[in-house]
Amino acid sequence: MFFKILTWVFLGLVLQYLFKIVLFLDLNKRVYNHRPGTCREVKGPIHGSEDLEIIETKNIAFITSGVVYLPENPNNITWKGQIFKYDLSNKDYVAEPVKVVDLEDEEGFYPHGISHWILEDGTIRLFLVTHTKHFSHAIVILDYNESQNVLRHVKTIRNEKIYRPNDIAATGANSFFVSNDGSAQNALLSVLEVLSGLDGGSVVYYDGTKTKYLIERTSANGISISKDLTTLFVSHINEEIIGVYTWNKDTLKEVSKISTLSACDNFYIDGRNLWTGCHPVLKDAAEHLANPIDHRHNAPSQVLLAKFSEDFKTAQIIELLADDGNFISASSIAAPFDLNRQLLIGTVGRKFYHCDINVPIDF
Amino acid sequence: MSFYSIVHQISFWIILAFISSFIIRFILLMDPNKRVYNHTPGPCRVVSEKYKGTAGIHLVESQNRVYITYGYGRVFNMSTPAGIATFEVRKIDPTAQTQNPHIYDLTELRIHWNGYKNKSTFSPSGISSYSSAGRTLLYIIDSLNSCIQFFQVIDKTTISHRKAICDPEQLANLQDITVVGADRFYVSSLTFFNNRYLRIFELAMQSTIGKVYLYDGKELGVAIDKLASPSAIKYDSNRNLLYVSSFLNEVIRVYKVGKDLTLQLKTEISTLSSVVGIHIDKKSGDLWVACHPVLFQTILHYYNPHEKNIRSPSQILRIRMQEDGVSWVITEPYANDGATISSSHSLAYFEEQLLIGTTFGRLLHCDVLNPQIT
Repeated sequence: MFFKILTWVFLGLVLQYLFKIVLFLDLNKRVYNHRPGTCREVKGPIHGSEDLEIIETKNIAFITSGVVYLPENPNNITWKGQIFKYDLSNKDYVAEPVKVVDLEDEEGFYPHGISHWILEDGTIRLFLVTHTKHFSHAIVILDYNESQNVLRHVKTIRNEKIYRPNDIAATGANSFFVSNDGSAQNALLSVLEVLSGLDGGSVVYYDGTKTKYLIERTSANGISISKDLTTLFVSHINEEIIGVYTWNKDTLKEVSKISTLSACDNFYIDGRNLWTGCHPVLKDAAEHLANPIDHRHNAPSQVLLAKFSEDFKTAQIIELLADDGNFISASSIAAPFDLNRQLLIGTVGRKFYHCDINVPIDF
Repeated sequence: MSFYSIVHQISFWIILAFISSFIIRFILLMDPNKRVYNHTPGPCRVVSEKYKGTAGIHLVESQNRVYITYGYGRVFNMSTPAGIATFEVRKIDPTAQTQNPHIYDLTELRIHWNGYKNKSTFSPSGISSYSSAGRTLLYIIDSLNSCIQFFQVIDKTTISHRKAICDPEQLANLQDITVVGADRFYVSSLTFFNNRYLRIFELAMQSTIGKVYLYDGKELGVAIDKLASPSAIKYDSNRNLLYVSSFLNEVIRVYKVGKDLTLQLKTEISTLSSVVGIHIDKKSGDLWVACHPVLFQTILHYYNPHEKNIRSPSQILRIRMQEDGVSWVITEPYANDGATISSSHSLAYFEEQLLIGTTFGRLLHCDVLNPQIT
């Protein structure tokens, strides 16, 4: 009798778990196309534009390209990791790669997340999450030499607490947050990690000398901090939630969790506006990520703008763009410029896009 | 193990599988994981909040006028004026510094009922028209009275009631109407059953026993049988195509209409969203459809139409048929989580403007700034 009940309970649990996976993979979700204005592909990045940083004072953007993520076989990685620069003052739709010099490991430079800090003398310092072909990780700090148009290596940081970094948010010339998006180091274990719900990711803080854990056992993908360094935004991508936290230079305190029902990747913060590139249909995003250079697999894209209330507890969400994957595939970041009249959209493994925003975004 | 106990076990498992599959299909049908985000094709404004329901919209190209039926909320016990209003079709320059404040005005039509007895329970929704030799006839679904009401347009401000075809059995669940000739039209009937509980059961089982009727000028006959919850219906006279949407199956069926009104199924457009209103752009053949995208919110809203806080998302899709006639591209010109307009039900697209009506409330007008890509 007891065993019968146990079997039934077990069967029920298995069934509800399988059903939840069906919903989680978005098997019944459909993405329709719409754009906020004319969109054009920017010549330059072809192996992705996973993250970008806009340097407002110089009106330029730096874009990371060629991300390596949970590779099945290092020999399949036939592309280079690069940083591109895009001039936002002219509408020429061409981004140029920037030379990176003095790297510790030139072969193993595949950038992922990016952040920046302006030094006291005005130099632009870039903070990059990088992986090698064999998926070992490092944080690489580069200083931009404007006159020579060259990124010069400053420091490379490796730490056991930075075990699977995805994105980075700089808080000073030598300090930053890093998000670890999980703990598994290969594709198979990563699938198990995601499906089991036991996320091994975390948010860590490096203060210039030591690293410490701020949030553990979570999935943390994109991470960005407000300009005044008081509010931190984390993408808890597996739960499809944006976590908002206050930072007092020592600890994080949770303010709210905004549910997006879409897997949002990296953020661009502008006051109380959060812009992000998302993957609305997970099964397509997963297929695309497993084989980014296979052009038969495209994943739908979505650009969302979350307008937060003053207390950051609620947000109104506007969808600027949605694409079924045939034009823009697997969007991972969106950032506006020119007083919210133009938009940059980066993708995980394909191209880079520049759109006009012709529709109202104030509701 | 005896034969009987084996049969017993097998039938138990089959029934269990059937029930589980029904429950899962039902949960997926409710769209629990669907989310609608806000976006517009240009600046929008609410044209009217006066009426509880603006569920039928129809463009009459020859008159440069859009007819809007209002008052559908009467079917759900809401007290509201009911009737027909018009909106003038003009070219509007959305970038003009100052706009004439009257360009978004609605004109309520005066109805000469000519002694018709049931005018106080008139609850209009779907509307279609026939124009010829300067005369325009209107055909409107009247849900509470289970009738199709016939009107003639007298002038810019007046219409006159001609006759009514009523049938509390066959015409109790009419959703939409589309004209194919003078006093000839198709109507869609959502469910087979009229009884409230049987209707819910029929819809929950996603049954295919709905019908489309054809009125040939004299009598009503069944044109299409065995449809799954038919909702919106629209005829493209330029291309001889009849579009019928299935509310729960989330598809639009395309029929080729022959000379003697014989119908041949051509293809099915999958929208994965429940379509309730269709507008056809005569020139391009594009379909603009109004949808209820998240079903559980639609149901909550229909059961609580008076509750201001229980809102249902709105969605407008544009289906652009490609040259071959059998493939299409779908874009989404408008979507709202319910905060601006709740439960989009009807629409018209004209002169780069979109007019959207809702089941129980507001009428919205939007400028479409980039019509080539919207």
